[in-house]
Amino acid sequence: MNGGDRGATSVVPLGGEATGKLATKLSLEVSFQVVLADLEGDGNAAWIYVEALVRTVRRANPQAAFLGMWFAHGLDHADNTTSFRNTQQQQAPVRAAGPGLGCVRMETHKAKGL
Amino acid sequence: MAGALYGVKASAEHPAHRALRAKLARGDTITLSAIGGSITEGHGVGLGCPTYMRRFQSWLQTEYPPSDSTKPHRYVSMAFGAQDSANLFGCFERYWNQRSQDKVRLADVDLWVLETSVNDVRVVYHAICCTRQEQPTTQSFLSRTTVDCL
Repeated sequence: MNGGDRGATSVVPLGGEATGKLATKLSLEVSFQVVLADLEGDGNAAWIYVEALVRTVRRANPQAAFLGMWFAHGLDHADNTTSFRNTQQQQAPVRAAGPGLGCVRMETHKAKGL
Repeated sequence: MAGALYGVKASAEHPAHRALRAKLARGDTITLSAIGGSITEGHGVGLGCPTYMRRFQSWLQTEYPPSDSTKPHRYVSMAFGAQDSANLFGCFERYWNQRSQDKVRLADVDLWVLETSVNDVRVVYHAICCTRQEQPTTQSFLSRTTVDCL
């Protein structure tokens, strides 16, 4: 999180069975106390739209919880698995969700041998 | 298991998350929705394989089964391929009506997941090229929003 305080975390396994050629092993690492102040700057403007989106949803649904999805290594269209992408771009939803609201950091791994 | 979803309790935990965890611990049925692009829609996961949100929903169903077994946890996908955050913002109401089909109210969603990791590259490009190094403001950006809903 580029200097952010990740706070308490836990890893929640989700699946892991290779049920097809492109099946992925997924795990969720859930973080709290995310400090997002260091996510501002050039090339990271996507959060503005995401924040507006969150504001729109919150108006209609003020009690709801939000989680910004941040992929540890990015996801690739080709097989929904790992490839590196711009981390600031990925973190936009995390920032928009708001400080203290947490994020889900998802790690994906290609199943062995695939 | 009440704390497992969010790990060790954090002092800064948001009330909305506490409320959600309490609902799960009570055995209430919750409603999930994920706003995102094709990755969230499941592009590339393989025919018949569940998306990460469906896996998440299944995991919740196993770990926090609703006390009323006739009312499993619900998921409304707000994932649309090739849609960046500007489109998802601009088309939100239309998309919600399309996907919820009046079966789920917006106010009934307990947890929103946000994912715009891939398609926002266009928004980032817009920010760099069109603002001429100005620090963008929310207003200046939203006033430039042009969207093509699906």
